[in-house]
Amino acid sequence: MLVPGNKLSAILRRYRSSLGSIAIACLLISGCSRSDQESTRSLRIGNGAEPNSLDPHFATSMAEAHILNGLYEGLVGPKGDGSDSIAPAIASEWKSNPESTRWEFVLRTDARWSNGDSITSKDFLESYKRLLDPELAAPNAAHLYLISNAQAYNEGRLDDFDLVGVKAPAENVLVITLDHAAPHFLNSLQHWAWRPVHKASVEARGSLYDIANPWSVQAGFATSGPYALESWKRNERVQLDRNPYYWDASSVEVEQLQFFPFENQQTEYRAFKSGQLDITEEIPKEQLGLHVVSERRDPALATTYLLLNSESPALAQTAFRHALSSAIDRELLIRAIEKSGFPATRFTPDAMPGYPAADFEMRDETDVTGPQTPLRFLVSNRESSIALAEAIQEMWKRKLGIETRIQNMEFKSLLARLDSGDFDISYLAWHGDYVDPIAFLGIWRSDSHFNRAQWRNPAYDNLLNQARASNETVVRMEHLAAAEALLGNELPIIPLFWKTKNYLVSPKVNYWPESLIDLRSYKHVQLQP
Amino acid sequence: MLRFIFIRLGQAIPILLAIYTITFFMVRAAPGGPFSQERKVAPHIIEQQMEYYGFNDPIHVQFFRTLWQHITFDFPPLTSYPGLTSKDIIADTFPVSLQLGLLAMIVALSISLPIGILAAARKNTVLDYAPMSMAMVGICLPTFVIGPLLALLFGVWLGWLNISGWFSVYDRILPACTLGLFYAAYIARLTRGGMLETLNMDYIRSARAKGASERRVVLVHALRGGIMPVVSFFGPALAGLISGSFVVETIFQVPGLGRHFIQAALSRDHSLILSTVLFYAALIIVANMIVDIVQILLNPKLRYQ
Repeated sequence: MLVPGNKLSAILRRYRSSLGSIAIACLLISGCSRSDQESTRSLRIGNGAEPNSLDPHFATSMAEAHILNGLYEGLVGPKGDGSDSIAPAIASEWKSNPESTRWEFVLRTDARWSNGDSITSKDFLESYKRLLDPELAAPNAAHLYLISNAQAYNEGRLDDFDLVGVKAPAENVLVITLDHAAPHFLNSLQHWAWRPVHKASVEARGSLYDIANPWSVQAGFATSGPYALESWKRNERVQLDRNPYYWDASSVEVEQLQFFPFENQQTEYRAFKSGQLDITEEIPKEQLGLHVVSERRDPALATTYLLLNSESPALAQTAFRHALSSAIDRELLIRAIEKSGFPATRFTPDAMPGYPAADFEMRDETDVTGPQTPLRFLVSNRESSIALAEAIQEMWKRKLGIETRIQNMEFKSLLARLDSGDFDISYLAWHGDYVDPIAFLGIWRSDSHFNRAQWRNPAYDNLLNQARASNETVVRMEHLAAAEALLGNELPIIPLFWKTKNYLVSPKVNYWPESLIDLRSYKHVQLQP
Repeated sequence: MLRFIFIRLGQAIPILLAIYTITFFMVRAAPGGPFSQERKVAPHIIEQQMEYYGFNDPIHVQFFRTLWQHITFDFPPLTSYPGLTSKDIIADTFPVSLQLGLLAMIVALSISLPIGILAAARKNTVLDYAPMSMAMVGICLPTFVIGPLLALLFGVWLGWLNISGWFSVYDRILPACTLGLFYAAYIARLTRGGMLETLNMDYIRSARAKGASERRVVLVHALRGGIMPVVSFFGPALAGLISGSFVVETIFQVPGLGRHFIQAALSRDHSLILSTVLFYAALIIVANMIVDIVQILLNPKLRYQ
């Protein structure tokens, strides 16, 4: 529509004031700089869920682990070359007896807490005592059960902590006696439960053994790692600053780590795209493969699998379980739904170094008769889990003529159903806590409380016990591989995929170490000069 | 007026009590407990935690203890955030939600009222059809579509604003606009409807007959009655806005109360669920009471009822 000149100027005059304010608003918005999060020596990391606790004895999620990994250092740490191999950390050297049951660690004398106090073997002892105390009821206590008598003390069957296999004979010597031979002991020390907490910091806010002691909810507690907590604004940001007293402070290049919680993958992705993040926790499936420069797909010790209820009569026949497994086209599922990862040919991922286990045998059992009633397939209400279940349902129907009824439900409800045994099949994932096959195979022991398959096999337990008795790594691995083979024959679970850790890294980061267990050595991170 | 407020507050007590009772038992009836995890924790540890948090006590003891804790504002530690209580969470997040809600309301009202009034005054013209069609689109487009679109436009393509977080003043713009636009569309239609009804009334004709200017008729005589539907809608809308829209908070990573409202239920944190539900309920009750007071001030007829 054409507007005569004089009329236009009249309109402009009339709305001059509003036009002016719109223009000012536009200028304000366009002229504004991004918020103050950016600093050249700081790293902004997308971190998935909001942490619930920064107490290493209580924290169980990876989101918490990523932060604790900056705050706390243990006896040993990763080399930082991307291989997860062990390097000295607070312990400068160590030795074990030939049976691998008694380990003596010599702590470095220059190791300090972030408040300047020396880190002594007593700190480790007190910390392990706290973690194992039955009153504290810390979820991570089970990680210390390798120590002799630790489980009995934690379960309240033993009152005297002196009988537990941790001793501090000198200020810089820590001796740990194990329940059984464990040549992999150093690897298992990678878990954050083994890292010491500062007793005085805990006691400053309440009892050492009080579950709800709020010592770690705000900055001010001393830490042993390369960083200390600067601030924690819930659901917003956790900020860590360099610990000036850290023994290896000179090799820590990044001054500040900022962890941002993101519940929504797409929000995190947009934040990365707009330059608000340097590293993401994940990549939305639709965006996989679109970022050649920034995209990283690290191998991970993580397996997704179908959990079969061993007590369900419908799944009693081994041949039927094999038929279910071989009817699943894992390649197709990865191409169509998962978009990343590898088909799992056994439970322990092949990324596990130095582990000689063979692949599970795929038996093409086509002439099996399925149960009369449809199999109850329980999945969480995540969109991708449902899609996956539906695809598998169709594969079973076409290849075996078996009916499946999928029920999706909210996650805690699903766990309640699994724990009550009211299911046939479910879809879960397992992430290894440390780099050793026992971190995977151990969950299917008869006495393991992780064993939701309710599978009990004395021969399998026996093989794991033989591995326990062996202090020769080669022999031990052979026993474990034999246990894995038995798992493949019996098939109480059906492995589906070995996951990869997919994430984006900004070009600003020169070196970001890989880690199979997603615990990266932050002191080795290098930024562009 | 004071008597009215006292009566309304008195009515609130049984309502809150009923909400407390229903929530308390619903939470306990939900499958799965606060300590169930994918990576199962040893049974003796769960048992000790249950004991610590008092979940092993008889249900009536738990019922009255938790009730007393809420009456005296002496909240127990949370199972999902050991070391914190509901009071900490609400004190942390409510100011954020309040700010987001009020800003969104300002956005909504400043867009919708002029549009609605104009549309009613220029009924069946372009000035009516165009904004009302836009409003219809606005109502149909949910926040999880508008939000990412705005984030893409202003955050990723133009690079003017942060697309997540709540750090600087500018970080308020996108979430407030997303939430505000949705309500703006709704309020614009309500305003138009209310105004049209009022403009057909006898007293408006009288005002016109007395020679009042069109502007005065619309903005002074008609607006007071025409805005009534908006005021009624305002109460629940304000409570909804302030308690934080879960969706908008997730899209823009706003650290508000809405996310805890959902998270508490998902993690079966009994204490946090009860506290947030009661807080939300109290907020709605207060917002509705304020709306009633405003309606009484606007409409003298109500004062006698």
